[in-house]
Amino acid sequence: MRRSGVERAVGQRPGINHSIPDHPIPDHRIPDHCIPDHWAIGRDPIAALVPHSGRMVLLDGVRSWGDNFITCWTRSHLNPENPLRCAGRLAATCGVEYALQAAALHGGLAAGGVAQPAGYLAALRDVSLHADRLDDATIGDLQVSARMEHHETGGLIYAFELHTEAGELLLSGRAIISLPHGHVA
Amino acid sequence: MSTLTARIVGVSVWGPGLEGWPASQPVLAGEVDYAPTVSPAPPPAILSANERRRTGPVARLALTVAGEAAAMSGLPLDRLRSVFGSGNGDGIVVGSILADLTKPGEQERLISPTQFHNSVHNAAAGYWSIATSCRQPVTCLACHDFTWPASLLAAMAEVTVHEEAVLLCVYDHPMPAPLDAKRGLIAPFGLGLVLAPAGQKGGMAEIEVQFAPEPPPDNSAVPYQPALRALAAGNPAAHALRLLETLARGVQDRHALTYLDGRLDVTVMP
Repeated sequence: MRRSGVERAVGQRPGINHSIPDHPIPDHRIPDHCIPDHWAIGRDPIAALVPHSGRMVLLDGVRSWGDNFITCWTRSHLNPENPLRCAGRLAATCGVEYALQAAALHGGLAAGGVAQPAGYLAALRDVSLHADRLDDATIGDLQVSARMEHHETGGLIYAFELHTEAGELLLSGRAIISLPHGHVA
Repeated sequence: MSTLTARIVGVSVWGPGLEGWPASQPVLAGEVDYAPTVSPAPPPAILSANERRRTGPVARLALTVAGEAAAMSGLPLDRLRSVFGSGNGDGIVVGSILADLTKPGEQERLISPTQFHNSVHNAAAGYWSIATSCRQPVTCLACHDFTWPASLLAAMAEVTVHEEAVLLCVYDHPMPAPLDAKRGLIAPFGLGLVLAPAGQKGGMAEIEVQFAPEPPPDNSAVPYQPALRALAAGNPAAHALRLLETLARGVQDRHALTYLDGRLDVTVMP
């Protein structure tokens, strides 16, 4: 049986050269449906497209998206009611969940605004944290970007980055997402 | 958050002086005094001789309680979904790998493939799936001191959403020096529960859980028996002792487990 790219990536150790580049490659094409800021997608349409509900919808808006990328913004990291806070703090590792919600939202938007069945996070690779916590007012609006690097039946790979409003990198990594029922990504 | 309800159709325990459910039930019911002893879990008979040889004390603990609870339920082992919870995972194997990697003066630092294989957090769950030829989903969780409520909530959610029985196996084992200096556990302890969808007949009791974001209003989750309180406080899996005592006594109980900043309210009705 032919093994899928996702399975190969899951089986490989980090740091080993494989088909996925180490850094997201800039997309030089003009995205088909890049939406200007003033048409931005807000919380209600986001909530309809991610598998989460209530306060677990962590993203406030979409800045732009295209065939294989999405950039969102939010202020939920500063909300004391954020359900991911523990002892009043929002650990930087929680940024991964922000990134995965951006990826899920991208899946829904790219499918024409239809919520997609939930995928499973199979593995995280190359995660690097440049901050201890996200509940820091100096971050301003949190910028959450995800870029789809690979997709096929059975799985997806997204590279992700979180930045401060001023553009400082807070967190980056890569998520391998499994779509267990073999539906087409 | 909504209330989750299930039927407890299997239970097991293994810990110091608590060697399996039949032997422990009178102790947990308060009919026999608790007498802690050193109680290593036996090599799991469910595994092939080859696999059995590769298991250490932590995997044995997990497989012992998983096997006992599943057997009591009478459900086919290869059809059970499962949730495995452990705060430490296998600290014995991880400690031994770290010792090998930091041995002074060694030119070539080699670790055994068996050790590496056993070091991952879901090793015990993997042995269980192999032993039972079960291809149902397995969830493995760790949540430090809150591993018991985290695992119980996950299992209750699975029973409710999938309307299928779930084996819940929660275990924690002390780590060797020097790791124990950072995380000291009083003794090995594990328990198993088989949770079936609510409304089914039979079994031991109905269980209901509900998460609330506020901390518990009282310390209702401590064991009835003072003699068991040190164990309950000294091992995250033993936070379940209050529930086990309730089942052993066949009484109704409501207690609140601390879960991170919030709590998990647990109600048991025989």
